[in-house]
Amino acid sequence: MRAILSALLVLLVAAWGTLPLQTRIEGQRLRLKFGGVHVTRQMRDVMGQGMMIGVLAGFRGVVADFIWILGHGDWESRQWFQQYNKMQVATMLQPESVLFWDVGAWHMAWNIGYAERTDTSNYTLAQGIKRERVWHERARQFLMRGIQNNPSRYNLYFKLGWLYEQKFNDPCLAAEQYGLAARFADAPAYVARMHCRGLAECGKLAEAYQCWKSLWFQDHKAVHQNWTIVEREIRLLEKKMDIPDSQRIFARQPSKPEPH
Amino acid sequence: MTEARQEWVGFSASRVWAIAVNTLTESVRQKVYLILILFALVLIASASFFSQFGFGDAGEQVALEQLKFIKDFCLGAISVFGVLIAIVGAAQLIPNELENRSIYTILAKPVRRFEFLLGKYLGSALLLLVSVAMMSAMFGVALKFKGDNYLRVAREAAMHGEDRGSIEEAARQAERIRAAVYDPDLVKALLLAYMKLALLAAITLLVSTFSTSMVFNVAVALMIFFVGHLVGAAKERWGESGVARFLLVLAPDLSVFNVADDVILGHAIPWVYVAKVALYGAVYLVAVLAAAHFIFTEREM
Repeated sequence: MRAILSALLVLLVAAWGTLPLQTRIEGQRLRLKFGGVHVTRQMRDVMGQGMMIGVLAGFRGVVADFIWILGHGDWESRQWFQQYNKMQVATMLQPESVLFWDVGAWHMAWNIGYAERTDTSNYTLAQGIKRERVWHERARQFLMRGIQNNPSRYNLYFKLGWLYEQKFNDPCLAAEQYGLAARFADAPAYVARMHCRGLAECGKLAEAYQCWKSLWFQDHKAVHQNWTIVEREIRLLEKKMDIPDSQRIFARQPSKPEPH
Repeated sequence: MTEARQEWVGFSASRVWAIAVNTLTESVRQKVYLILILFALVLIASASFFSQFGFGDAGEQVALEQLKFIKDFCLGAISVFGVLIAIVGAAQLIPNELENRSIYTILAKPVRRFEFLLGKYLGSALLLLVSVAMMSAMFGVALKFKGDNYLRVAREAAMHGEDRGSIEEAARQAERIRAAVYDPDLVKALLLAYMKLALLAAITLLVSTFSTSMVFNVAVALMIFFVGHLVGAAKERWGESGVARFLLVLAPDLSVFNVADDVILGHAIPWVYVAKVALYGAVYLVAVLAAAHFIFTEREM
């Protein structure tokens, strides 16, 4: 009995003694955004016991991939909500896998949205469009959660901008997101061009002109950019905004002579 | 004089080492261990064949996703087989000695029970070290094999690019693939995985000091393993309750040792974090061994 009490006492002292250390470790995990698995009811419903054990045993990434593949099967059999649940769980397991957020939102906004709109059970086209918009909104929410989990990656800002542009027909919000994406050094060159173009489509011509100008004044040798497009857009805006000669980058092209 | 002092302290490192080496030799010769390690190595080596399960649209994305899958798969396999080796290996140490009656011969010699226990534990820890090292080496080979293929393709694309832009992009892709293959943080993930297994082996040994059944030892250790991974979630849910906090503190939080997912996703793991977790593991390990010592010393055989 004395031995058991001594053993318990040692364990208790060690457990309580390491409490401040545990708190520090947890704090650091939060600061570093280390993604532990947060077991939720939804996760339990989708995964079942086998996969749950797999997750706890260390196969978190593999289980997430497997759930994603199952979700793809649901898409093929038009089980949208099951697929939606699986996409949620896959992103819960691997919240920092950009691919899951990206492809998940694409499924919702493009594939499921279209399928809902063209579903033959819709009484009217309006009903189909309404159902489609629900999925657009889900895709938007999904991407925004993705951005919360991956704020330092350009991809999801860009995808959200693309969603605003293609499905919400809102070039202003799209331009804003493209602008956020373009801040990242690893963003492809076209993202910055889409930002400038989005501003022009939004009606913010002065901002768009500044945006194109800032691209043009980059070092053409150091930065890989499609300079032909940049030049074309600047010329277009200079003409459209009637920029005075002294402020233009490209001189006015001589007008063609009137045919006799 | 030295001998007298050792007798006074009652501890001999050489005796502990002799028992540890003997335990390691015995464990390595066991069929269960050989089958487990063989399965683990085959599974890890075959990871690149399963990498098609990874996702991605084209080029670099496919490469990075497949490399991610290999890392997920191999680190998962190391964790699962490591846990099995740790628990099965440590669970039978004392019951086997009792069953074979070899423990009586050993303890009849000038060997203290603590030395016996520590030697057994060290043997088990050495077995885990050898196993994790073998599995890690196989993991490294599988990752390099797959990664080098993608690197070669990316470098060729960089060499045969049509314009400066595509050459630069291909070179950047090659660099990203190289960084994914030769990620030094993987070593930290493996180090912490080993720490977790060593702690689990100590807990299993503690259970076996008061139990005579190996099945019971394995079952309890597995339960502690799962509880240890759910402590974090339980703290989040019931952390406010005093009683729950008291009980939760008793269970080791094994999830803090899991950084493999974060390494795979490209998080930098600071050495400070590794040191803190290692310290936490070491304190817990010493406490568990001390508890095992108290129980084993009083145990009637």
